Amino acid sequence: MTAPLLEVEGLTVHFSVGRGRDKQTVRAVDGVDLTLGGGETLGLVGESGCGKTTTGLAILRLVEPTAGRITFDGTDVRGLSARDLRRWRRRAAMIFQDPYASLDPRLAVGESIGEALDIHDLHQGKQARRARIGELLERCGLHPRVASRYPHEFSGGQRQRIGIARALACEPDFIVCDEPIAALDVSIQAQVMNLLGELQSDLGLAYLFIAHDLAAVQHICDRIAVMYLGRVVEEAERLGLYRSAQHPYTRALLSAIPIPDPVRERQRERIRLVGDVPSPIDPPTGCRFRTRCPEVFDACERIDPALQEVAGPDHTAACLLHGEVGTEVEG
Amino acid sequence: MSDDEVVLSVRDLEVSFGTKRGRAQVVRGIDYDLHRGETLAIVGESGSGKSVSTLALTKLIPIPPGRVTGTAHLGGDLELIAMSEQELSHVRGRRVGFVFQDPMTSLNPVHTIGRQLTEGMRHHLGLSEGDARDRAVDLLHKVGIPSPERRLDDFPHQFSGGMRQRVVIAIGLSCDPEVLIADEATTALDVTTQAQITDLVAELQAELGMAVIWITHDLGVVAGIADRVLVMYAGEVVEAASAEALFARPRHPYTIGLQASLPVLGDVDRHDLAAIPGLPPAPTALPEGCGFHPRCSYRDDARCATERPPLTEVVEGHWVRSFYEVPAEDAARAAAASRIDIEPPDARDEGVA
Amino acid sequence: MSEHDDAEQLQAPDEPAEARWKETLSALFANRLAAAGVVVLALLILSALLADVVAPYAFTDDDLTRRLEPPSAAHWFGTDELGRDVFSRVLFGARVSLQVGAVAVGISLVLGTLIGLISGYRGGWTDIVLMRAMDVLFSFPVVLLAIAIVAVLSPSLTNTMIAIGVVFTPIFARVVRGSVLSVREEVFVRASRSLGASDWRIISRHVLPNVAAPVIVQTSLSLAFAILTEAALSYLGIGVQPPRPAWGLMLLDAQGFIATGEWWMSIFPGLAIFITVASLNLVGDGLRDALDPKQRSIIQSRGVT
Repeated sequence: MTAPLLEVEGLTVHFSVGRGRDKQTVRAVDGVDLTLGGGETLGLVGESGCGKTTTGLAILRLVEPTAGRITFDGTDVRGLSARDLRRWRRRAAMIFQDPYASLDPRLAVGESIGEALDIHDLHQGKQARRARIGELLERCGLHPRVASRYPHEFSGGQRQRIGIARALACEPDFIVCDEPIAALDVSIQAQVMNLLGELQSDLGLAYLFIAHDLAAVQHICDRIAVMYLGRVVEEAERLGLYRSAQHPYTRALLSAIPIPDPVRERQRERIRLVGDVPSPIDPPTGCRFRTRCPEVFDACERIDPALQEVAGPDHTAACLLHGEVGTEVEG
Repeated sequence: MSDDEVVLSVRDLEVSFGTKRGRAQVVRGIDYDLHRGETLAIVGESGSGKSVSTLALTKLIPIPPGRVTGTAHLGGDLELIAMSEQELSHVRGRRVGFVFQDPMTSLNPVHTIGRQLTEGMRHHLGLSEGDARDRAVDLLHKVGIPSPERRLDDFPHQFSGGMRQRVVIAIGLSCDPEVLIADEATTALDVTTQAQITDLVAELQAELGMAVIWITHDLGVVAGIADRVLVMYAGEVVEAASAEALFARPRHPYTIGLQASLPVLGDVDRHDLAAIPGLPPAPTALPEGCGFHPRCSYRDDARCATERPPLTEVVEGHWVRSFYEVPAEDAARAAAASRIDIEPPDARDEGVA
Repeated sequence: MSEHDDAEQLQAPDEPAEARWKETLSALFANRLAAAGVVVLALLILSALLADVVAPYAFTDDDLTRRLEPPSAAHWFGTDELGRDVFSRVLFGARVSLQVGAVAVGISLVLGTLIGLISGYRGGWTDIVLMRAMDVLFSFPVVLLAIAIVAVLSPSLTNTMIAIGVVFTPIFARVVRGSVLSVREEVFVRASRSLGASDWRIISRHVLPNVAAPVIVQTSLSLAFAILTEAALSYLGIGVQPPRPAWGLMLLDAQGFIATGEWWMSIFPGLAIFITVASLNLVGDGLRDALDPKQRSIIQSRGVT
């Protein structure tokens, strides 16, 4: 195996909320390790508030990490100066969830795409710039002539295509896709997923695909990491995760996803999770899932589980049912 | 599970809105009967008219610019469409309950949930404050909110998203409605919470016997809860059938396309998804002829582009609005595509190494 | 899936980017009220510039034999208590009032926008310090603060403009800061940053154009207030010095004559202020809509009628 394109170790993002005596720390991301090879897709799934989006933003340093190492193709991303960071961003792009908010309403869409070119001084000159913008639009299934139109004239799916064209402008190696289909209509989601797949195989892109829709993630990803309360609780190859999920949370998540088949859907027994996700300001000691876990036992409070190999070399889970691996909780 | 008693009978329902670019036909004539204890799912994408068609029943859309025609008989006696605002205020919340998509905005942030819960009961049922509070406690208990006596005086922001939606359901049920309309009631929720809410509604329905209209874009949710399904596209019903029949043998090209385009958990080979090309039409620019024909891969002759197909009963209880009969094998492939499915883990499988 | 399948529904006119300001202008003029405002403002500015040529009398020409005459063929707007032609003085007054308004608001616009941008974009301590300073300025009554400034600098037209400019700065700073705070959090700003955009680029390309709308509205309001503040200062003898005419000064001169029936002395300068302020507001609203691509296409779809 060649060296991975992206290596993330111990990524931590803490935010402060409140002032003075009410100051509290939100542990949005709390020690996440991820590895992504070139041309590969890693899925990051979890429910709202689990820190998946913050993880994506922190990898691109759009949110400053509190701790951890990010190595991209040999570059220490956290060590980059502001100037070098801007330059590095040519290689790592992002696609956003809300296609309505991610385009500047006052810029013609061609200008939004052209901005990336201007920043990195690529394809400059009126003719060359225009040709490149047209090429990018065409690549994403839009007519080059729509460049002079404004975002409000497009549908959600079309805007997402524009967002993708913008991300592609500087020929990145890596794109963070943050819930790229969540805001789209069902019949449009498949179009955008196909486009992403096509672009990946043509351009050799690596994706970090962040989503809550496990079916979509499983379709597009090679490997999947499941997050809960700022931690990765399980990581496996796409089918491996589905076939033999090892973490109780992953199992609950899988069992909650409705299957479009009435016969099976009605026979299926769900794992019912009780209660709500605890606040990331004050996560449970030990295993963070223990307050809702149907299989909780006494060690869960005592030991903060670490990821360990389960069901094969490419499959890790942070659960004490597989052996009490982790750090003792102090006090 | 459904009685034969029809609680809601809708005929020729049309809704249009006046816009600067002419009248937008948002709902173009839909008919259905809703039986006691039944769950009817209305499926469609944004702009298909699925929400408007139910909101219009009790004039929960702005009129004007909206205009509603047709009839809707509730409980065999009341005709809703011709009712005055005054009369409707005794129907909304009393005989027809609502649960909306966003539990954050459908609760008033400045009032306690106790007040919001008791308001309808006092207005519609004439309960005293004390009686209404007692009933509110029962309701909160019923929708699974722990220690309801204490939580009555809490404000909406003190509840999590899932808990808030439970409160909204409690409000929807507070006056024992005959019909509960759930408009994308789980769309804003996480899947584990969604599962809790759909289960909850099913349990309450079995207990209380009301009919439910469940509006959603999610075929998976439909499969879990619906007795019958209306598939809407461009303001009309394109397919209507029992849930079993619809998923076993979808017959309209749109339904088939929708099913085939879904990524499915556990699919082994990763072919491109069979996406439906193009976009749904804007209600101000509906195509001539069949509403779906510009995106339809089965359209064959000039007829699709000029003539609007009628909704016809193809086999008993299965209605389709299409000139073209999709070959059984295509439908079977689409249906099968949504079933490539290795046994999912569930509670029975301990599966720990 | 075929290429362009989405694009077919968009028939895009192939227009060069340079034509965009023309588009803005045509959208502005498609709004009939705004167009009227532009015409009236242009006339006002023109008559102020050409007052020497257009005015039938000099603003100092007094004729004590014809004091307090009502409007007539010789004196369209009548005469004042010194027998000066009110029409001519209104024309010359436009010079002073428009100049004070434009320069003073120009000062506060530039200063306020700069402070608001820095404060909103940087946040943290910078924001706290700058905004507290603005609050202090803002907590004084406008006229009182202006008096203090002019008192320090000695009364003159220039110092009046500086004083009004300083006094109005917090208003702009607050408006801009508020908008910057919300624009800064927009996803498209983050998107631009993800492409490698510098702060400067983000501010100039994304933040400024998106805070333009509230600033334009504030500008048209402030111009009106600036003209009124000038009037107040002039009345107190620390603004424009007589015998130079200014609308505010004329209005305040006329105060003593309202009760005795010499209505023309107050009506005409008052009307001049009203018309100026009203057309400024119309142009401001029109510009705000014309600069917004969404509003612009609504205007255009209605057709230029």
